[in-house]
Amino acid sequence: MRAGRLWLAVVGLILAAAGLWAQPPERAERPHPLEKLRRLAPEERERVLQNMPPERRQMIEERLERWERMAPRRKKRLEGSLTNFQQMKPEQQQALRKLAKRFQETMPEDKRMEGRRALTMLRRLAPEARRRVLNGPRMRDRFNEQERELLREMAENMPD
Amino acid sequence: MKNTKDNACPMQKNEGELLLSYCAGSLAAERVAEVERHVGVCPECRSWVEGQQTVWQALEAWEVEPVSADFEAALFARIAREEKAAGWQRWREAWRRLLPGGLDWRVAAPAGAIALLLVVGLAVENPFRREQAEAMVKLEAREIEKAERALEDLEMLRQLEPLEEETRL
Repeated sequence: MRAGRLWLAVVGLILAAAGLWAQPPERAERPHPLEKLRRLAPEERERVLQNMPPERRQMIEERLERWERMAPRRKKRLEGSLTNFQQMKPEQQQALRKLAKRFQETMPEDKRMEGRRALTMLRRLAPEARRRVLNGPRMRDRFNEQERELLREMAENMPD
Repeated sequence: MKNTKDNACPMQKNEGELLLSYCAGSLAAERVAEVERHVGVCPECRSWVEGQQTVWQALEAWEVEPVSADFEAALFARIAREEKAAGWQRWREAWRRLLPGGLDWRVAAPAGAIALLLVVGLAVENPFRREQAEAMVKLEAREIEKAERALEDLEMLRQLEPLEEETRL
């Protein structure tokens, strides 16, 4: 009886100590990892990126730099787009990534700027109006059928 | 001194104080003679007086040993030690109350040793802490991947929208 109580006390102490050690880290509102990466001090960013393959590291650094140099208004608009994009379902995000890749690979370079402009306009239209514009004479003059189909899919899938 | 006048024995009359005063030298002179007369004829009182005088002589011969200079400091230190020991005793009593019948060291010693081993083991190689540390490293790696993916997505979105001046038109 006496020994049982003593063992109980010992086990209790051990469990309490283990419980203290195993306490989960405090939950707090965390900034987005990209924001954290941007806020890192240069030496800390260097520490984080130092073990990466050089190409990957260079790409990250270039993109961060481009982001930093961006006009505030555009930066704000793109942040909004990114937030909306991240709220999409993973399969929708993946579909849009594939469409964007197709756009870069299949749209001729001289048509890309016009394609981006058309995309901005198409995204603002209702589906029926969008279909009419895409099948209209001006669009048919500038883009072939595959390009117009790509623009339609992108306009439907892109976040606000 | 009616008793001595009447040759009555103070020991028999339960008047030991009279003999005690005689031995202490505090008895009046006229009564001293009476007591001495009685002691001369009473073997019981003579024996008592002789014994008492031996004690007084021994007390007078006794010399108090001198104390050391730090006697008081040593005394207070000893008192403090004994009070501390009393505190430990109280702690042991508390354990005894918790464990009726007292603390059985045959059980307590191995239990304590196991607890100590486990605590030391956990401190040296704490699996919970290691998991936490690994989780943090993984989290960091995941965060870098997330940041990288966000940068890719930003780049994609940037390439799909017209330039600033075009958007304003």
